[in-house]
Amino acid sequence: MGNPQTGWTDVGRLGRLGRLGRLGRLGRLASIASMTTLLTLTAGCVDASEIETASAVRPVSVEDWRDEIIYQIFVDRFADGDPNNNFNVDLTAKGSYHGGDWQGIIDKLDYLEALGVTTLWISPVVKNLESDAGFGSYHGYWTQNFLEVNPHFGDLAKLRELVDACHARNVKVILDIVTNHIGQLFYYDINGNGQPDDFFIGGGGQAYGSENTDFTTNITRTSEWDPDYDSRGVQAFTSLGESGPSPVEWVFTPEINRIPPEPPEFANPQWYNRRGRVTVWRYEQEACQYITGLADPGYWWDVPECRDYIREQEIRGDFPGGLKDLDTTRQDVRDALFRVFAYWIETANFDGFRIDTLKHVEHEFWQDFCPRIRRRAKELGKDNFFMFGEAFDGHDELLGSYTGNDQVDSVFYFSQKYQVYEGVFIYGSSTSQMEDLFDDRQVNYPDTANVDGPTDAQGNPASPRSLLVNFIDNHDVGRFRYQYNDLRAHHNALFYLLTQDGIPCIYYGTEQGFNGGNDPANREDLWTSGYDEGYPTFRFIAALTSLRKRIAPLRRGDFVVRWSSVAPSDSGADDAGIFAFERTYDGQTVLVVLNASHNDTSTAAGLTTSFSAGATLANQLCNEDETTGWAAHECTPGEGETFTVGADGTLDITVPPRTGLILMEEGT
Amino acid sequence: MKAPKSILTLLTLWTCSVGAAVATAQPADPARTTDPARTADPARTTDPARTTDPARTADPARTTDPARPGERPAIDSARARAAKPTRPATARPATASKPGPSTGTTPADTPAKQSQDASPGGHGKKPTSVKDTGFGFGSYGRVGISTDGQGGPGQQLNLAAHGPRLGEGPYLELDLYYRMRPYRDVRVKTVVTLAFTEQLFHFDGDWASGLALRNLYLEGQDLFVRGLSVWVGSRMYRGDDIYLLDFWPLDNLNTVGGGVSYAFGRTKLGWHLGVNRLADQYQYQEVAVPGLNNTSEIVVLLNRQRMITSLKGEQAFGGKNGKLGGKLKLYGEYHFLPAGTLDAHLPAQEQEHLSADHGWLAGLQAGLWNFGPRSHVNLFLRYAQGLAAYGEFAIPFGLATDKRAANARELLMAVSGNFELKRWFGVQFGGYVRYFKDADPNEYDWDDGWEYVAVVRPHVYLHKLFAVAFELSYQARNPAGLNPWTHQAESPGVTKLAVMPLLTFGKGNYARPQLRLIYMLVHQNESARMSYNPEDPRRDLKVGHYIGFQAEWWFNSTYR
Repeated sequence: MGNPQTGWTDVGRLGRLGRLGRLGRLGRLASIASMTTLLTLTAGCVDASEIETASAVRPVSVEDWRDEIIYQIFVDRFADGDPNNNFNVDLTAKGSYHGGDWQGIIDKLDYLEALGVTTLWISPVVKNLESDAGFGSYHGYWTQNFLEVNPHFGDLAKLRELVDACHARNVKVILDIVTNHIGQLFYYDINGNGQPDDFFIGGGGQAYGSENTDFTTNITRTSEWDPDYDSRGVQAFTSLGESGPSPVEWVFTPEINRIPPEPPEFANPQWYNRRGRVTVWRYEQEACQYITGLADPGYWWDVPECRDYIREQEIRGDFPGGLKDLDTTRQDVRDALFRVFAYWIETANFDGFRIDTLKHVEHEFWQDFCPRIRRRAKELGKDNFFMFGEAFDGHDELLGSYTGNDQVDSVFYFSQKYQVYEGVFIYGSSTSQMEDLFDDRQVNYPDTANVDGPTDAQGNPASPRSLLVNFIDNHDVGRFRYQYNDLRAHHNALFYLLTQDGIPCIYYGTEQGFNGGNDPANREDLWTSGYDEGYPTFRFIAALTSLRKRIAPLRRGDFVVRWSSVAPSDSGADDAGIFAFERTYDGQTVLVVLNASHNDTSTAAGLTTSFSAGATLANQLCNEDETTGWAAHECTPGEGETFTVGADGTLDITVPPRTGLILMEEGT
Repeated sequence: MKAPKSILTLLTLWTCSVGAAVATAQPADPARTTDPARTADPARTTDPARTTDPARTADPARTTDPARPGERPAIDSARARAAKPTRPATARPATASKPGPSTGTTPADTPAKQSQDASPGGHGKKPTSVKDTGFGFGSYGRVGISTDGQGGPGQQLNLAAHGPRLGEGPYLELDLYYRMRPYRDVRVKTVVTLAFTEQLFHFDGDWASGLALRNLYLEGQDLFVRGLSVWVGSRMYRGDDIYLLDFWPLDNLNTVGGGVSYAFGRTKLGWHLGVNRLADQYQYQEVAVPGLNNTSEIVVLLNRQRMITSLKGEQAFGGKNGKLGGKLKLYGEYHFLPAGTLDAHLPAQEQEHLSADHGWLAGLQAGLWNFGPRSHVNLFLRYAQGLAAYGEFAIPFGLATDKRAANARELLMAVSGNFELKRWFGVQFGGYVRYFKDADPNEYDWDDGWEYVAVVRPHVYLHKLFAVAFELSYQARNPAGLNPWTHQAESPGVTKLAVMPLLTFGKGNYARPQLRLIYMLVHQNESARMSYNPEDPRRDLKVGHYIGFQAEWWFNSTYR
């Protein structure tokens, strides 16, 4: 066994260092040859069986998921560490592969460590349909083979190496999985001619020959790749009328890996709902009018008939783009999905799953899938396996409905993204909206943990309510700086993200001030930034992650709102934009006060705290000025502004716009 | 006797690698052994003569799937795919063609040298038909048919970079040369060698043939002083081979260039400088750009030549009058490739910078002959680094992030030989151990690792025209990465046993022409089978049969 860390370079170095003399008896020529040979052989004996199984990969323990700071990596766009897998790369097309890979992540672990993130969520690893309609599958969400790796990113050994390298730094790795659908691997042969046809009919209504009565938009799609939703199942028809369920035809185009799915059981057409694509998105209200026959049925979410219809489409319909929806009500489908995703824990030692399209799968599936995954993870020694899902929806009630009760442990806090990070930090809504959402959380999210679910540092079950994954933006929405290209506002939002309760999740490129719009513009190549660790946002995040690690209440503390303002930001009210909360853990309390106003300095006068009278509170995060790019740093002793708690336990605190204070009692 | 000791040392060291392979195989599956060379041999990657071999084109390591690690030839797989040698016109066998006399002798370019050197260790008769002046003709060829016993063609089922040659497809070289003496003490020869790959009209009904102009050079000999030669042109420039593997383990360059050699006494020195510029986007790109009158015109945007220079020195000892002879040869190469830009006509973001690159190779060869009739043995040791670790016809793959090959390494130790008893028995043998590591930083890489080949072919001569030969070979690979199909650490191995009744026209194992009837039994271990694409029928072939007959000849070859 050679020393893989040493490799050939050191062999050469050793050769030059003149150890040849030891073999002098053999003659100079023989010595050189022999020594070179010996060193060569020693360095070359890499034993591939070392990486053959995940058991070879270093284990890692998660003490408390609330300690974690997740960093979302879009593998194709993060770092290109191996040019040899750059096939079908087109840097000029945002919708094509750009060359990022797992080696690139390994190469940049120092960068990530400097940023202070502790968990990486990497985009899907499985083999995809290579391209469709001119777009590449760089994102990884077009599964073709559930059990093979995407060769654009490396091989299985490299994936294990990545996880191993992360674990060596106590960095966890979360895998992005998709259970709802596969890539566009079959078409509906609606007219029976044995080829995929595309034609469109403007003006809405039924396609000639079709009797589909489901809601449709003003364009009726009869693309055989991606036909409109039909609650009866996509029907075959010609101009002479319908002829029953449309046949499903798998495609065999190996040059783009458009071949039937693997494992082969997934090639069973019965395993798919075959109802066509969801058509109601962005037309929910119109759909509700169509369904009820009322001009003003009320907000669709509040009309059970409408909500049920729309949810049914979301759950049974193909994901737009022709991503074929698995019939996850079938037990054999559930079993197969369990097997293929358990495989990745077994194979690559992942520490958790980020689950795509959560709301497109019925609750019962999650109640089957999640407990089995937890049990399997436990069998593999992963006592704190974490599963959180993406329900791309602003309805807090819907998000919460997928957590607990044997479902996922957490969700992306989309309702907060819209109501707080957009509503307050971009659009200047009142900070009372933040408090309202926090109050809703107590209703919408269970306080009871899943059986075998995550635990806290004391081993107590951690409930979904305490584990929400907070985020400002991600790969499916325009970046914060696209919506509002203001560095201070962005930092203000990041300040809240990294001080509030729950688990912060930072989208790659945030630290470099990326400002891409919606998909695919928000999937920039990080290497264009030069991985600048001096960029103000990088330094701002690094300072906050450092504080979060140092100050336990910022990670594990409870969350008590101490101040919110009903006045919109910059409205002229004294406390406009002020939001204050306390977090206490293990007898230590932190008071966080921020001002979300764009321009106005605001004051929280008589702010109630839990600190004793006379206590001196010192600010821990020192904001910097324009000359340093509005970054921040951890205050050095004596540097941070101090406040003395009044006799009644209150404080008067004035906060400049777009800044915040992290106050702790001096000496703690 | 320092040299023999060093040889012993090297042979001892070989056991490390063999031991490592065994140790690797044990924990997982003793039946397994591994495999990089079918993907990792850079020379094979671009050797058109091999890629057009029907038995090899379907080799899983040779698929055009860019995801296959071993088949990613270069910088950008998209480009590399376009650059793959799919055109027969580019077929220029680097190692596939000639049998090579494996002599251990020095070349016999002059009658004087022939009489001096050709006697020892050589495998065949002296080229008595080569005339001092005038036109000449020589040829190497092989042709035959085979079946797998079920109606399909027989298959070689090799997995190593240079597996046993038995079962190779048709190939022909036609040597045409003209020798003249412009002065009494100065000689000049012009050599043209046409080579045809395996497309035979009578087999595929297609008039097209893979034709290459390989040798096209002029050489002046005994210039100014006796033994000094200068040549210029396109030339197969090579030394001794391992006949049974169709492999030149030390020096084998195919370039367009020139060189100087000087032979004095038993010493010979040679220097050569040549270039190639392969027709792929690693070295060459032409694009259509707007021209006058609303038309387009073709411009060459990338045109970087690989410059290769080599130096060799050879000293022979003894060997005269049937006495034991020997030689020692030192050899070196330096490769250089200038920088270039792909898609230089496009905006900067769409261009791809190809770094300048270089590499070197050093090796030695020791040979003995006359320890038996027509007997010889050669030992080879070669180490290459950087660009030189990839053959001159290779598009380097597994590059570093700077798209250079600087970290690539190859170590090769080989042996070849022939031993004959006077009348009735002779044995040829050969083998090598090779380690290859590409330039990328992957610690676990299917492209990297060891491979081993050993082959022995005994002959029993029953009549002056009739003999029976047997061939036993074993080849194995021990890759440093996981099999991309099975995700297991594997050690593929292939064992072959062949019996060949021969009609042979001449004495000795190297006598040609030869007509053979071949039956070959091939066993692939599970790992070898799992190296193929799951759709490849060879994946199910635990035991294969090769039944065929073949003719092979060579005479008056000018290949040196």
